[in-house]
Amino acid sequence: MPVSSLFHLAKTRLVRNIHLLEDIGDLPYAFLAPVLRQIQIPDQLVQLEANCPQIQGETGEIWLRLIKRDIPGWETKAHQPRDPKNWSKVYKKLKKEASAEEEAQQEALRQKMQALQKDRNGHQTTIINANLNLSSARRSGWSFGGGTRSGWGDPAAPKKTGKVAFDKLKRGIYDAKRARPAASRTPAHILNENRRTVTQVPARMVRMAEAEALSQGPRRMLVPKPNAPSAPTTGTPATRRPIIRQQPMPRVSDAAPERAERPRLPAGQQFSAPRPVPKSQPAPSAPSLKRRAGPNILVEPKRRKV
Amino acid sequence: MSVESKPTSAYVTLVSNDGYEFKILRDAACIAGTIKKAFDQSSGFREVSENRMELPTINGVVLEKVCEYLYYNQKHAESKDVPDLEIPPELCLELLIAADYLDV
Repeated sequence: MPVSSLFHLAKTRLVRNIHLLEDIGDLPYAFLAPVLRQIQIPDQLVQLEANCPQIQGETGEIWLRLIKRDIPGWETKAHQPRDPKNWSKVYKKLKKEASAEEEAQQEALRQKMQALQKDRNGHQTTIINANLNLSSARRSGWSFGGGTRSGWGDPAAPKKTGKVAFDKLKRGIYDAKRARPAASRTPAHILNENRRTVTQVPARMVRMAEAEALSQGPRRMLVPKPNAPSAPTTGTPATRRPIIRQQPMPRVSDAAPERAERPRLPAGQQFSAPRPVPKSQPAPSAPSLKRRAGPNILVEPKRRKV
Repeated sequence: MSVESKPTSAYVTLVSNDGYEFKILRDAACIAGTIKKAFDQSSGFREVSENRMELPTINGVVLEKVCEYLYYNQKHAESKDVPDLEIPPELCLELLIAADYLDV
């Protein structure tokens, strides 16, 4: 089917706007894991854990990835927290250590550079302004030479004129053209050889592939939690929830393969998700008037039948 | 509310939890697995006799987007290069839940 499923479309869109995601309501982690794995900003993940306590303790893999990304030499440091809820603290601590280390190294480098500079200043030759008592003897020589550049000998034209420089420039352009002829005059196979190839995989594609590999791995069973700790945090009162009159359909396992492998919400439970609101623009309170308020004087008003 | 039974009409009605009704083509609606099962002739659900399905977990805005997707899917069923469906980012989470429920 050329059209991908709505689930896939929404997921892709969500991943693209992952920086807006700060609240996932009471959705279980396993349902949104492929999306949450794309989070790049540690503060955002902290916020998300604070807003949605049901994912606390399950975000270890994301934190580990962030630690791998941000902490140099993370293997040598203790990074496995005793309580899986404390991954963010581990990250914060390691990040602090890493930045302190970096600071110290910068300071050391600065000290070393300053020492070098000092050393160099001590050994430099100094030019002394010594035009003393020589003026009268040399002056005749200057006038005798006639040239503007040298004091003695060589009364001929100066070596560097504009023409020489210009010829050199022209020659340079010619050589460059010889070395790299225009694409239109080059045979196709040479063009293909010269074409640059991608040497490094873009970071985003690596991340996507990793996420893909993770989701292909051993899958966890979806176990509905007996009491999701959602009621006080999400703020949706139970009275506003619609009453479900019919039971949800039993899931059929022989659905399309793409549908079968995506994470499922536990059946028989209802979840609510908040809408992330972009902070820059407040929600419009009144619908904006698109029509001009006054009548246009150039347009004749329609006559109504009486 | 249409109470009298219509055997099979080309259109079915989807009702959101805040009361919006969407009349869409039966073929398009049946792209969604859950809707298809609900309107299955042999099932004997009330939906079959009324040609009307209430979706108490989906609100009007999301259901409108779902209907848009169903028509989009139907329109581009055979085409190769498909333009992306425009999804506002703030609807993504709710759409994910709705897509999971409706099996699309």
